[in-house]
Amino acid sequence: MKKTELQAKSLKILTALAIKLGVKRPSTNRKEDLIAEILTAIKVSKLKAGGVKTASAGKPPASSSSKSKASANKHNGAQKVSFAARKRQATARPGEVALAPVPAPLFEHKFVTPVHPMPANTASPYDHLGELPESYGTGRLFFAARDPYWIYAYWDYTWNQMEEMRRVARYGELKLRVHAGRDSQAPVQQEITLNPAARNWFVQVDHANADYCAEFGYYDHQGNFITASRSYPTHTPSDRMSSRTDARFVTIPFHISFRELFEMVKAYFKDGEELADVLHRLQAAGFPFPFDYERTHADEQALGDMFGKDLFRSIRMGSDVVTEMFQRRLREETSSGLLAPPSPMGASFGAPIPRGFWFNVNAELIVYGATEPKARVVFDGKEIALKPNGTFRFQFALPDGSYDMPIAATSPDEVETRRVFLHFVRNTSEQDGVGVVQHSEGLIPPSSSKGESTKSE
Amino acid sequence: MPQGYVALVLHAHLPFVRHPEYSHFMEESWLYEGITETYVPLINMMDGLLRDGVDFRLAITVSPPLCAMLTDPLLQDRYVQHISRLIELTEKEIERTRWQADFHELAWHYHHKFHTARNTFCDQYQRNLISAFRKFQDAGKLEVITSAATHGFLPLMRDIPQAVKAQIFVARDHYHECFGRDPRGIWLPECAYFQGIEKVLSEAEIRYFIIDTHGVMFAEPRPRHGVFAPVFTRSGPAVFARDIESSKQVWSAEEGYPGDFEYRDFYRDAGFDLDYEYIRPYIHPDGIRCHTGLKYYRVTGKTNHKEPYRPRIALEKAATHAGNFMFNREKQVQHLAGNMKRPPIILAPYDAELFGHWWYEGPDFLNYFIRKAHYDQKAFSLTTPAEFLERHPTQQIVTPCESSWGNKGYSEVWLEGSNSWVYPHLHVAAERMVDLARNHQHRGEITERALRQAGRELLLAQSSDWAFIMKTGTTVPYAVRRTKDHILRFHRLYEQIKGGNIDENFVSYCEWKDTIFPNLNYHHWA
Repeated sequence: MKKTELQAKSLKILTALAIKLGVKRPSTNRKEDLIAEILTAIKVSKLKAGGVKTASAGKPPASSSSKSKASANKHNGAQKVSFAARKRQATARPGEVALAPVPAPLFEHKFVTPVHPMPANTASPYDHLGELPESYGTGRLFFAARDPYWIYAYWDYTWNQMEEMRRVARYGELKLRVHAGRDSQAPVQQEITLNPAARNWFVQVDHANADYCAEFGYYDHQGNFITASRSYPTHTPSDRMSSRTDARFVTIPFHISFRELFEMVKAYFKDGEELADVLHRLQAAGFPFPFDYERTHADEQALGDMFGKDLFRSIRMGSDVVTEMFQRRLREETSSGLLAPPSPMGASFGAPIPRGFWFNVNAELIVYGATEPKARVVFDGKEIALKPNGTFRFQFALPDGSYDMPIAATSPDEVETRRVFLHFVRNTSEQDGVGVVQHSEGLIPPSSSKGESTKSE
Repeated sequence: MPQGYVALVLHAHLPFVRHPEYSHFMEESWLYEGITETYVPLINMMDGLLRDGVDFRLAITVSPPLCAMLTDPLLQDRYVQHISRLIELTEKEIERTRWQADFHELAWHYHHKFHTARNTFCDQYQRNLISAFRKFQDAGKLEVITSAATHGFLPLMRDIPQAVKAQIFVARDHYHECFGRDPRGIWLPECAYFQGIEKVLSEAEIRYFIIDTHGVMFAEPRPRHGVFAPVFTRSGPAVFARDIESSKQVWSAEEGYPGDFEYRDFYRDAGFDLDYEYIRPYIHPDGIRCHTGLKYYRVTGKTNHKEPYRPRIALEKAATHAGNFMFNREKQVQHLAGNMKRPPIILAPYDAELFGHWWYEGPDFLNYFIRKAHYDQKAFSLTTPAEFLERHPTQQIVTPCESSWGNKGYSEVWLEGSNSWVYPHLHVAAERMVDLARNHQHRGEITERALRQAGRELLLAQSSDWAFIMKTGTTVPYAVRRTKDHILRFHRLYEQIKGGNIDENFVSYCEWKDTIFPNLNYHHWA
């Protein structure tokens, strides 16, 4: 806001503005001094907001806006962004594979609905099907990698089945045995004594990109491990770039279905090969396919050269850099989780809901009345539609100011006209940070609001 | 000849929420808000591009649940009621704000917007927005891809392969019903990839899928061109991975465009701001305040103080940001092309509902970007993944890394303390469904109906959205209730089918409530 704009305002409005800007006790009644205080307050608030923009060509002027969103995300219980992460700003030029720090997510949900009680079920007896069982007793041991270093396990046994096992187990203990390999012949990586009430477990393991499997069971009184159930093997995902840099290229024409391609090569499959493997091997050998493919007899290196060098080498970015970037994402418990958040529902570009004491006051104007249902009512020069019973009701925002409102009703036979001239003045002064105009959810209107509103006249 | 390509992929998905048992149900508003704020603006944008002869390319997932809701007569009726109520509210708002010029102009702005939405929905597309997406696809401008049937989190189903297969094949069948052709691409729910899914996709003739950056970066062996070229899996389907740079500019809370102070603030909504008695007819019938879509303020700054929204200035800002986005893509493409000696592709996937719903000016940003990319630069062309693969069918073979686009990049969001309880139930139900599909030959119409309904209940319970909501703590009671209800209905149907005592009234009741996939083929579980 410029000085000239402020000079055009009344002392009263300037005082209100000063209060709004956090000048707790405007120290003067002189207009020029007040304007000076306001300008200082605006400057300070801009600095605090990081509002001094230094946008340059090719870069979005986003730095100032980011903080509002970050704070909003935090407010929503979305992922927090550490200060250190914020400081690591992008330094890569356009085109470089992003070495940038992980951006915090913009929002965590697609849509927001307020917390509300679940509506009561309808009268249908089919709405009341009881509760889910605690377990089914299938004896399944589920064991699945959740990320490079954690595996989730659950075992589906009924309480009675568990009790029966505990009865014959040494010390009454049930165990989860984790093997570092695809079957129970692999070395035992760890053995967990389970809490009697536990039905699942998150197991921490040592290696990403590695096979694990598990057994659920117990030791008998002779010290033999008795296996009640075995899991399928699971493979922890990788958390870094592969050290393998060999490359196989293949042409898979888009217009030919997989089924047709399979028919072309089904006689040539070797053990363990899949469609792309066979196509690649045959194309390397110059097999006469009914479609063009990129190479005939060149070796893989030549084909690689045709497509350019290893991108990461050519832009001087080693696998260590890329890997570090992703591992940081995994490690940072307080960080956002790098890329976009997915699925449905909520977060914010706006500001957090205010904390602490607050007070909002507003006044609106309700004008209502009634006449004969078929009468014609003109409200401030505009004909309005009456409700079937002849009533009407309008609500108006009422900012500070002075307002005139002529209303006229003409009888259905156009013979008689009745006129009302309403005049309103609103003149507000605020102190100590009273919210200005908006209602909030917590502002419950007085039951006699209609009557009070009309008293403005 | 462009030096490279940019592919924008929007993922439009909402969980199947449809409650005929209530006259009004809060969570159904997710769909209505999506229609008004995202799907209709995108459709209007594409109609404008067609009208103006702009040769554009765009890819969009229309997930099967969203597809089902957009073609559902009950929800179509309810949307018309919803938007008509909002138009009525804007009429009142035009009067109410007569002495507040800023807000008065905004009231008119929303009045026009909601009118346009109703006209597009009712008159232009006869309440069926899928026909719009189909039209753009048939015109060769839009590529519509699918997702898993109910957006199930596939890595945690892998021990029951038929459950994974059903999610994919039911989606394929449904896509065919809606778009008159088979899908060529799929958005794996939550971009969650596990080794082996490509085999199922290959059987379904799905030619490509999309995963997060590290899913390709950590592939075995190392991808020669990072995420700037697709790769082939050993089973044949190709994989495109997200480009971080272009994602960050739009998504990032730290650096993204949508938080610009001139853009519309999402949270300040008339549903919360206005006098309770006045707004009450337009919020939840139980009197619970909720979003109406009338939002009068701009982001303004980092404090709670908000200034009135100024659409024209915001629109200029969207144009500036679109120009900036284009400039950065040009530089990115030029830099990459010099190193790769082949045209790179930059894949920029986003949640569709970011555009318009969260980022109100998002559709304008897209519109500007597409037009500028067409007229103002030569470095890159817009493309779709399928078009790119048609032109560039030779790619490296790798095995991607298991990954998702959730927090920390793997499965943690959908598998942690708040939601892990669902999986034993889902696994037992899936195994029972396999048992039903394999062991129950056709025994009359009622058995067929019960089998189909059992499949629907299982699929609806498997939606990844419920676990996600439990984790993020938003509408948790609803997510828990949906999970339990579908599993309980499934078990009741299972027991009745196995026991040969099917209660037709119960089957009818479930069919009435959970209408998704009317032509579901339960043999996919066999």
